[in-house]
Formats: sequence, structure tokens, C-alpha cells
Amino acid sequence: MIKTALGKLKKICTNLYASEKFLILLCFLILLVLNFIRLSNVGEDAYYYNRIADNLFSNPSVLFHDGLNSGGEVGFGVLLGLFSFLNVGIVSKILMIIFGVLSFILFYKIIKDKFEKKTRIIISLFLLLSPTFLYLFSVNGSYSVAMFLSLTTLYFLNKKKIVSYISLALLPFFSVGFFICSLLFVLIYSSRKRDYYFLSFSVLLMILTSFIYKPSSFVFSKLDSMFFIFGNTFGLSLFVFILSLFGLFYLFKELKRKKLIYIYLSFILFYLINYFFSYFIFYFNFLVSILGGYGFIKLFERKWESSDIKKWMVFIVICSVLFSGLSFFGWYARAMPTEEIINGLLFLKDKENGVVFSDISRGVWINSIADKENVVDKFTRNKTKIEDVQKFLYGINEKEIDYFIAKYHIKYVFIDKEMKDKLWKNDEEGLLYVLKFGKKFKRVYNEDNVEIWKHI
Amino acid sequence: MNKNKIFLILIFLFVLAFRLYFVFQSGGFSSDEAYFHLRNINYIHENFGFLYHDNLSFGGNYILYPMLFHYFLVLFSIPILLKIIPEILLALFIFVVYLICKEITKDEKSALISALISGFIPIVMNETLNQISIYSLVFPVMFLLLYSLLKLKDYVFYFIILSFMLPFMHQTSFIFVFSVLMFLILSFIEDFEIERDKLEAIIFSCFLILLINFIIFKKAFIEFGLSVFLQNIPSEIFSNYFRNINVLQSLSYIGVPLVLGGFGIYYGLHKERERSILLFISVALTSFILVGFRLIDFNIGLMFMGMSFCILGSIAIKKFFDFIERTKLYKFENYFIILGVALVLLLSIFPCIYAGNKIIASDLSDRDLGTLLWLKENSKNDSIVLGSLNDGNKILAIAERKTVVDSSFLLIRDIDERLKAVRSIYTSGSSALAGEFLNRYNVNYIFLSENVMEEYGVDKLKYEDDKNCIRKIKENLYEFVC
Repeated sequence: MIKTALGKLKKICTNLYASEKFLILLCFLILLVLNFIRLSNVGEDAYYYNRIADNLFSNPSVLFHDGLNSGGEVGFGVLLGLFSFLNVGIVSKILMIIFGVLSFILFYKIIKDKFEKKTRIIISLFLLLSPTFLYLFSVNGSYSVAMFLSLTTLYFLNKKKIVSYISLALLPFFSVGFFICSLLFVLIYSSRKRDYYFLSFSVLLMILTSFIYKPSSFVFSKLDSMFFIFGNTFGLSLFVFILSLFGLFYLFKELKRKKLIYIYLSFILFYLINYFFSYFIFYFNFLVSILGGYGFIKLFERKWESSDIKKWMVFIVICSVLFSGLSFFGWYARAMPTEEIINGLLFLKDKENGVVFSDISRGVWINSIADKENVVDKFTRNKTKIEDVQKFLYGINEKEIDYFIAKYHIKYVFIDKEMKDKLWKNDEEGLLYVLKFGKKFKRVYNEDNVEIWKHI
Repeated sequence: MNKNKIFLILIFLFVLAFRLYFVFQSGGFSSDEAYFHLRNINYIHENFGFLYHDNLSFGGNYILYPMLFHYFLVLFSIPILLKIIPEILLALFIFVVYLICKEITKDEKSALISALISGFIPIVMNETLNQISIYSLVFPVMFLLLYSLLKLKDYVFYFIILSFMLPFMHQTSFIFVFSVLMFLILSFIEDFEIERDKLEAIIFSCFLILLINFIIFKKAFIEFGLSVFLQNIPSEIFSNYFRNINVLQSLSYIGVPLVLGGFGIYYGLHKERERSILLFISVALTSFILVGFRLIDFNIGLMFMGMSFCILGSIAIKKFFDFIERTKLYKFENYFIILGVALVLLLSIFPCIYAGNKIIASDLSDRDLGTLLWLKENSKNDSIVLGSLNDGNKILAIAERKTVVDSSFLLIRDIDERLKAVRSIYTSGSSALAGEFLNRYNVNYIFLSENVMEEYGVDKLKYEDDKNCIRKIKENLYEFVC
């Protein structure tokens, strides 16, 4: 009887596992747990959008220039602003989960006709557990919407073209980088299909976008590393990448030459573009997951000489895919800003207004969490300002320091441990020396390795 | 028991006795690394868990190190056993060499002689004697893994178990990964077909070793990326990597196996096209390439090369006996064996005796030991003691005090500056300059060990007369009070 019950349970589990609904549920659960593993947002962009949302109706100029910072892609901030009567930090997380699940469904639908069910499930699981996918739908809300719009554009290209038109047109408001990537696919597609309407529309959009955004928005950032394990927070899973090479190998055996050249060329191009245009990695991840899943299925479908090694190999591969995903969970939980930094900035929020000096990477947080003006942030393009900041960080010349303080009306200096480790070699270098031995600043906060100094 | 087995046991006893003779001449251990192992073993013995965050190393540091070796030695954590067990393991390695050589040559005599040679490779003696050496376990496990790969059909189970064990012992498990990949490349070049089961086993072991290493060194990989493979070695050491190396002298560290191995490769590859030797050529070649790219320590590379050449040498020995058999000299075969063994002993044992004496002489002196024990008894628990890089683990293990530099520098970003500061403190004539560095690292005591004297060519601090800041406590210990 117990055996029958266990058999039934196993059958239910197998059916559940093999169903597409289960995958969607799994995607939802993974993104839910990841996003709510901590309540505060991660990175700089999330706080930038939160501030736009909070001020959208009371001070719409925040979209352009409000004295606190200097612009960016604001689509997600506006979208978030529609929910500004709620806690925007939480709403942004919920939106990322929703767009994550929708993007996952779209991806699944795109691959549905190309692979059999078993392969599709493995590909989807590889994608779900890849750090790149998890980053996309947990760190930057704007990227989440942009990826959703990008997939919508591609999915509806040969179905309901009007949807593709709309989603492509909306893309630049969320991410110019994603827009460029999508445009690349769309241009290739429309020129192959000789769809000149869509081609003209895309070119027009491109010209309009280049008018709206300064060239500096099209940041061609170079990747230091392709893989998460080697320090790239939105990098690929190394093991899935290795499996994708197996996938390429098996394709070599099975496909005809024309298709094969097409796939190999795409893979190499995708790989190379990544090094010059980091947004592309989010698209490359889809290709790697597909090839990785395919490689996995083919690797274990073939007859193995030793069934023991095969069993262990399956175990190791599953562990390695899980390892990448779980490592991302660990990174997310400890990512910046830490609770200590947030507490320090909240302390500043209650203090009288004034300009706060800190590292460029803390600028957006100073705006959003402490609600104070910063000197520089990630949007600062003024070279003189950036040079002045360097002088202030490392100089100990009293006159220069006085000049800097007066020029930028600095009232507070915010320093945390990570910043100390990154910027200075020891506790008595540059600004730290001035703070420690000079009489211009008084320490008003010193908790959990976070220090706030007030100009007196 | 047949005659060969008796010989093999005699060889084992001979190698073990040789090693123990030197080991028992010393009360302590002969390398700083030994004290790292000792401390970890003691920590596991007391807490069962391993030391992940060390409050003393660099004043607080993560220790990323596979701990299987330490857990294994916890079973023998009496000091005297910690001296003996690694030597027994290294002596046992001759059985592994015997098995592999027998498999390759199908000749017991050649396998026996190779086993004897493997017990007396000077560089191995130099790097492992009386040092709780991690290689005492890494060598047997790695070469058994290679052996089980050769005889996969019979030893799949052992292959799986050993594949799990190796990465939990040491990061040199990467040598195995690169070696088997090199094996695939060489097989392709030489047009040798690789059996499917071997290919599967290689894929499995590579995946497994990569995964376990990534789990253990995750923190370092995420922080430093691919440059982890350079192990964050201080540039001072890195730039001197090949400076003090005399190629001829280094080759003499490998000794007899180098010549025999060379002949073995020639005969195996070109005359007999023996596939299995390709695996050991791959180990030697991989070690050579890794040393060339400075990815592993020069001496470690030489050890792996020495072991591989020793195995490859068995083919040359067999060829020699085959040649004798075909001539009229056959009647004198036993004399040739005795002559051969005598030659091996002459060419290998004397360098080993020299290496052994040198190693034991470099043992921690009574004066240094006394000072470290004094620090343990008399300094405050959170005191920071300055020593050279080669003294760090002794300060941690014996004095149980914080260090400025020690060998666990994988995650230390400013290791170069620290080493420069250490050099300045020991060699500078200016108390102001030294004082700046001493203040920067909050140093309380300066330990002028024999290592420091030899490394920096000093016998005292030049600014020891600065009574305001420096108090001489012992001949080799100063307190910094400013």
C-alpha cells in the first residue's frame, strides 16, 4: 500500500515537474525569494528610480535636472511613479518579479517550436538558475522591463507586428543599451524578410533616439570577465557555458552545413560583442542556456560505458548549475548598499540640508536615501568636478581643501569601510588625514564602520 | 609471498628509515608551511570545524584552503605522529609507482627499480622532508587516480572516490585537470584513439575538480577573477621566481629519473607507440608549462616532473634488460641489476642526504623557539608581531599572535606594500621611516629571527638605539612603544 502511494506521489511529482505551469511557478518562486531575501534594493539604479517615483508628481523636474543629479533613462522611474502611493522600493521588486515571469514565458514560447519538451525544460531551468537572468530581474528594474519589451518585440515580429512596433518604440525609455541590441536583431530580421516598413521604422527610431540621448548614454562598457565566478556580477554560469560547448559539438554532428555555419557564427559573434558592449551578455545568456540545455540532453542521452560515472556526472552537473544560481543569491544578500550604509544615510536624512561629499559610487544613495545633494554621482559628466573630487580625496593641502569645501558648499563627508579599502592605503592618507588631524570637520556618526563628518 | 613483494617491502622500509633518520634529528618542523598545517590540525582537533576566518593572520583574514589533509591528520594529532605519518605516506608512494610501472612495462624488475628511484628524488626530499607536507597525500592520491584511469574498467569506483578526494586536498588538483586535457590533445596529435570510458571519466573528473575548487575558492575567484591562478603572489617573490634558478642545478634536483625518463619517452612514443605513457608525459609537460607561465612554484613543478620521469624511466630500464637478454651478457643479468641499483643509490641517495642535512639544519632554532614561546606567555593577546614572510605561520602557531605578513596572502590586496614595509623596517637606518610603517600596521613586537637575518642580511635593527620607541627585550625581539 505504501509502495502504491509512493508510486502515485512519484507520478504526480513527475507530471508536475514536466508541466510548463510548474516551470512558471518555479520562476515566480525563485524570483520572489531572491528579491525578498533582503528588503532594501540593490545597486545604484534602483535608488535612482525610487527617487524619481517618489518625486514624480510633487517635483516632475526630477526627470530632467533637479539640482541633485543629472539625468538618465527614466522610463522605469515613471512607471514606478504610478505606484508612488505605495512603498516604491517594494513595488519595484514586485514589478521586477512580474516582468521576470513574463519574460520567462515569452522565452519559453520562442523556443517551444524548436525543441522537444524535455530539452525545453532543461533549457528553461538552466536559464532560471543563471546569474545573468537572476541579475536582470532583481537588481535593475529598468533592465527587467527592457528585456521584456525586447523579447516581446522579437516574439511578435512574425505574429502581431503592431505589438513589436510599440514595444520597440518604448524600449529607449528604459534602456538604450537593450534598444541597440534589439535593433540589431530587428534589422537583421527585417532585411532578411524584406520588411521595409519595419526596417524604416527601426531606422527612424534609431535616429530619434540618437537625438534624445547624448552619445554618453550609449556607454560601450567593456567586460572584465564573462563569467559570474570570475567576478562579473551579471556574468554567465561557467558550467552552463562549458555545456553549451558540448551543445555546439553535438550540433556539429547533427545539423546541415548552412544552419551550422549560421549557429557557429552567431555564437562567436555574440561572444565577441560581449567584450565591447556589456548589455549583450543578457542576450548571449539565452543562447548559452539553449545550447547548454541541448548539450546536457545530448551528453546524457548517449550510451555511457560506465553507468556509475554517468550517475555522478549528472549529479555534478546539477550541482554546478545550482552552485552558480546559489552563489548569486549569496552575492545579492550581501550586495551594496549594506544595512550599515543605509543606516548611516538614514541618519543623514534627519539632519539639516547640505551637500554631502562621498565617493562617486555613493552619490545616488545620498540623493535617494539621505535625500541630500551630492557632489558627484554616476551621471556626472563634468570633468572639472571629477578632477576636483580626486584632489579632495587625496590632497592634504589646506588651501585646496578650503577652496573645494567653499566651491561645492560641502557640509558633510560620508565614508564607509568598503570606500576606505578601495580609495586609500591607510588611515592617514589624503582626506582621512584631514579628517583625523585637521580641525575642519567633526565626526557626528560612527557606527558599524560607517563615519559621517560635519564641516564646522 | 613472492620475491618481488619482499623486495618491494624492503624498499619501502629503506625509504621510510632514510626519511625517519633525518626527521628524528629535529625537534620541530623544517618549514614555515608545516606550522600552517600544524595550526589548522590543532584547530580542527579542538573545534572540529575548520579555520575559515583567522583573527590572527594579517590581523584578520579568510583562510581558503582545502582541508581534507588536515582532517586526515587530525586522526594522528599527537606531535610525534604528525612527524611520522607524512613520511610513511611518502614512503608508501613507492607502491603506487610500482603499480603504475608494472602496468606500463609489464615487467616487475623495472617496476621495482623505478619504485626504488622514486623514493630518492632529491627535489622531493628537499620539499617534503619533516614538513607535514601536503604532497605526502597529494602524490599518492593523484598518481593512484592516474593509475585507476589507466585501468578504468577494473577501478571505476576508485576513480570516482579519488576524483572527489583530490580537490579537497590541494589546489594542485588543477595539475590533474590540465594534465588529462593535455593527454587528450597529445592523443589527438599522435593519432591515438581514446577509449570512450576514459573520455567520459576525464570529463567527469574535470567537471568535479573544477566545481569543488570553485566552491572552495569562490571568494577569491569572485574578488580577483582569473588572476587567482597567479595566487596573488607578491611581486617581490614573483619577479625573483627564475632569478635564482640554475637550470643545471635544478635538473640535478630531479637526478637519475631525468635521464631514464628521457629515454623512456623516446622508446615509448617512437619505438613502441605505448599509449599509456602519454598520460605521464602529459603530467610532466603540464608541470613544465605551468612552471614556465609561473602558475605554480618552480620546485613544485620539478617534483611533479620528477615523479613522472621516474615512471617513464621504467620503460628505459625495461629496454635495457631486454637488450641484455638478447646478448651474451644475459648470464650476468643479476650483476647488472646490482650495478644499476648501486649506481642509482650513488646518484640519488647522496644528493638526498645533502638535501636532508640542509633541511634539518634550517629547522627552527632554540633561540627563535624560545622567543616565540616568550611572546605567547608574556605579550597581550591582541599584540601584533612583525616577522618575515617565512616566519608568519610560526608566529601564528607557536606565539599565537597576530601577524603583519604570512603565507595566507591569497585575499590580501596590499601584500606588496606590506612586504616592502617589512623590508624597510628590518633594513632601514631611519627610526622615523620604520616608525611610520610600524605605526601603520600597529606593530607591537619586531621578531628578528634567523630567517630575517639571512633574508635581509642584518643581525640587529640599525635604529635599536632609539630608546624612545624601541625596547630590546631579547637578542632577537624588540618592542615598539611609540
